[in-house]
This record gives sequence, structure tokens and C-alpha cells, in this order.
Amino acid sequence: MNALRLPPHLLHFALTLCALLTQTQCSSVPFLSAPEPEVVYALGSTQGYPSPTDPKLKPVIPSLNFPGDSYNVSGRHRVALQNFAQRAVESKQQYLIVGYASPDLPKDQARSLSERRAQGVRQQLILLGVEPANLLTCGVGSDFAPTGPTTGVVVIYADAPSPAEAATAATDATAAPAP
Amino acid sequence: MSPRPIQSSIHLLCLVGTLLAYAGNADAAWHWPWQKAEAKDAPNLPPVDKNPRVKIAAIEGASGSSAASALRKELLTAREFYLVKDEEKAEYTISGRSVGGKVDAKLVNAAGKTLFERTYAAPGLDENIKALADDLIYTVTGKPGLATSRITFVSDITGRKQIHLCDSEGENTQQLTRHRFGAVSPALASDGTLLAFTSYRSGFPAVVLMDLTGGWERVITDTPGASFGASFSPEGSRLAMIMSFLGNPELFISDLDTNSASCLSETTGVPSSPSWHPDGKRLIFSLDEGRGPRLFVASLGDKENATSLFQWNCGYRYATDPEWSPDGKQVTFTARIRGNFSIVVRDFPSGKSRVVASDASHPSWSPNGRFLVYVQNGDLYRHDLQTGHRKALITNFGEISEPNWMK
Repeated sequence: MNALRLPPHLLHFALTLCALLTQTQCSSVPFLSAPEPEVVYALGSTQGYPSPTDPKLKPVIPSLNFPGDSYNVSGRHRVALQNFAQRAVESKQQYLIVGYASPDLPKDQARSLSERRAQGVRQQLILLGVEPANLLTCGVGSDFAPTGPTTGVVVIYADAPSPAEAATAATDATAAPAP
Repeated sequence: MSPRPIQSSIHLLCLVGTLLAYAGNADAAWHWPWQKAEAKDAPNLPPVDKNPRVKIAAIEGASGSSAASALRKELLTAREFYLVKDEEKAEYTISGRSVGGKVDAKLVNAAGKTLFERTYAAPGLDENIKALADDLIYTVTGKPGLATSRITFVSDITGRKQIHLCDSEGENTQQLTRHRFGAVSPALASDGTLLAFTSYRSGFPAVVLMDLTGGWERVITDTPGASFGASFSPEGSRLAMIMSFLGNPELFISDLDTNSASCLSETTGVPSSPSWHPDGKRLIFSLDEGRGPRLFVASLGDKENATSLFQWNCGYRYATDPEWSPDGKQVTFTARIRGNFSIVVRDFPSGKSRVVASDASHPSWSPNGRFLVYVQNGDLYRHDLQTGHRKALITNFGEISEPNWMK
């Protein structure tokens, strides 16, 4: 029977481990749990992000997703922005870069974070040659809730051509001589 | 063979394990799993008969009895005095006359000295009695009363986020803004006459000043980018706010008299939620430099340049929405603890810290420093820091956020 009895120091160790495991913070002890992988894709959808203040504005590229509280422009963002920047340099159109943040964040923090994200995207586009005067930013935090799949995003908007303009463009394209 | 080396190793392991647990828990007070995160309530109020003894003597006039009962009700709600009966001795006696809602009041102390003698002639008896109650509390205790104080908050009950106002009991709610794209982030000046808020009227977030007595509005930040998070200085002539017209969002102080602004921060991070110390010489705000928002204190020099800026160790790795208590000795803020937002009150610069409410955010002090209002599940709550009693002020009023109690 004595052989089955645990020595006091081993019992002490086992009890300490049990206490650790029952605490909610035990996940912060690295060897007790593996962190849950967080999958956030760099690019999202153009759907679900209507302009909060001007229905004429439409997203021109898929939304740029920012995980958690991050605000740094990632490599994948840069690839998407590079393609967009080429078009923007040629078109010389004005763009509105709107940052959104999760509604779970405190409101003022969300506004500042979303503005910081929008400014980060603007800086990147300026580096890629887009005229700064054509890039306006607006961080709206969670004051306007997008219906898109992710709330921590930056969306670049531009004026959608009116039906008349679109028809003219189509006519011009048809009338243009074939190369 | 002696088992000493093995025993020592195991004991060392136990010690390391325990230390790791505490280190992992550094952003929260340690507790057993079956205990709630909230700190224990502070000791109850001293017995009410230890409070200053005040007698409401007969108030003469046609509306005298209504005035006396309304005053009694206000003073009982305030819980600052022990209201004595007619035959008992009092340290202070209030008497007066009321006709047609107008109130003439006189406060004398036990020695017979008149402490104040005033006429309250606002249109309604209620308003006059509330003003009298606050004057009485201020004269006797030196602390502001809450009867005339107001709380602003944001609600989307009308479909858009707009700013609303209520009294300290959550009653007499009224909508203050009707902006096309909404208005958020309200802040009331200490005298309650001016409201600063962020409006989306132009499509971009801009700080707007509204005069609650005259009704006029004035755009403070006619600059590119976003402006938000306005906070009135104690004397009411300056606004601290976040503006991004230089590029990144930065902390600015705007002088309302001269229409000039000075930049206090120079950061590549995310500053937000500035709040003034009652001395008007310090600001606390949150700044995220990539590791989650932390609290920073800026001490203002003579020319409103930050002469010093330091990170305040509030004990939490994620802290935002700070607000200094009216006496400047404590700070309340929203902290993220185990993934949930909680309201924390901590002594400044160091001392005790307590979690007041879990799953809650946006705390704001009452003018007398006794209560906090905050938002929980979209409803507005008031928490008595002396008794621990919590009261739902406004529920089922759309989603409420960003309450701000007039100081």
C-alpha cells in the first residue's frame, strides 16, 4: 500500500499543475496550450462595403483586411496596391480611402485605429507614385457598420461613372478604330 | 541515497510553474476560477446620521409645501445629509418661500450665520429645487451636487448615431443632434453650456461645438482627415482632440479663444481618448504603438508644448478610454482582461486598483467622484463606488455608447 502513496513533493507539484490548468489564464503559459491559429486574408470582398456617406462612391479594389489591432500595411496589401496604383496614376481620379474597425473595440480607439490604417494605405499609394492630392482618408472606426465579412478593413472608393458616362464610354470604345 | 537533489528540483519546478502562472496573469488581479473578477465592493457609506445634519424648515408660500417635499426628495437621493425632524437639533437649516414655482431660500448654520440667501426664478419649480439642492450640497460639503448635472451619450435609436442628454438619474432624455450622417463622441463643458462632438455632416469626421443655451453650432476642425475625441479643459477654453491632417493621427490642443491649435504628440502609433487632469496642466490618453493601447501622461509646459510625456503603468497591457477623477487622485479606464473589456479604477500615480465591472466600457466620472457611468450590453449603468450599488439608468434605448458626465 505504501508503494501507491505519492510522495508529498510530487503531490504538491500535481496540485500546482491542476490549479494552473483550472485558471482561465493558463493559456498564457506556453507549454499548457497551443495558440489558436487566426486566419485573416489580406484581401476581402468589394461587396458589403457601400460608402457610408455617398452612395455614388463604389469600392475600386477588394477591401484590405487588417487582423486584430494591427495597422501595418502587409506584403499582400502592397501587391494589391501596386496593381491599383498603376491604374490610379493613369486615371488621375480622386480616391477616398476609408478605414473601418471592429465594433467590439472602444469607439475612440476604433476611430484612431481606422484612421491610422487609412493613412498607412495612403502613404503606400504615394510611395507608388499616386498624386497625394488625389488621395483623401477618412477613419470612421465602427461608427458605420459595414455588412461585409470583415469589419477591420480599409476600402478605397471612387466615383462610379454615371449611366450616361458609362454609355458614352461604351460608345467611344465601339467607335474607336481597331488597332 | 539521499533524495535531496530530486526534491529540490521538483520544488524548483513548482516555483517556476507558479511564477509562470502569475506572469501570465500580470494584466489582471489573481483569483481562483470560482471567484468573480470584480473586486470586492468598498466599505459601505458611513451611517447617514454621521453626515451633516440638515433641517428643512417650513417653506412658506402657495407652492411652499410642494417645494419642501421636492427638496426633501432631492436631498434624500443625494445621500449627502442626515435630514433631521423638526424637534431634532440641526447643523444647518434651510428655510424660504415659494410662490408660482419661484423659490427664495436661505441657509443658516447652527450659530445662526447666514451661509447663503438666493432666489431661484427658472420657469419650473423642479429646476429651481434642483439648483437649490446642488447649492446646498456645495455650500455644506464643498462637493458639487448631481441634481443639475447632465450625462451625454450616443444612441442609434433613431436609426443614425446621434447625441442625447439625460439627467443623473437617467431621466428627462432629449436628443441634441440631428445630423445627416450622425454625430458621436460627445463631451460637455464643466458648466454644461457647451457640447463638443464629432459630426459626419460633411462626410468626414469633424469636431463641432454646440451651444446648448443658444443653439448655435461651430465647426472647430476644418482640416483634411479625421478629427475626434474632443475633451474640454477644466476651465472650458481649450479642447484636447485627435486630428490627422498632418498624416498620422496626433494629439492636439485647440484654443477656443484664439482658434489656434498645437500638436502634443509625435508618434507613428494610434493615439486616442484624451482626458484632462483637474489642474488643467496634464493630459492622459491612450497610445497604441503596435502592442495594444497603453496609457500615457503628457505634462503641459507654459506654451502648451508637452514638456514631458511618460507611459503610466496602469497594470494592464491593453488600456484605453482613460478619465481622471474630479479630484485627480484616480483614473478610470477600459482594460481588456481575458479578452473582455472591463472598467478599472486605479489610484494615480500608483496605488490600489479595482475592477468595477466586467463586459463593460466607456467609463465616465460623476462631478462629485462618487459614481461612474458606463455602457454594458448597449445599456447605460451608474455605479456607486462607495456602496458598490449599480443602477441601470437607461435600457432599451437603441445601442448606447460613449457616455460623458458633465464635470
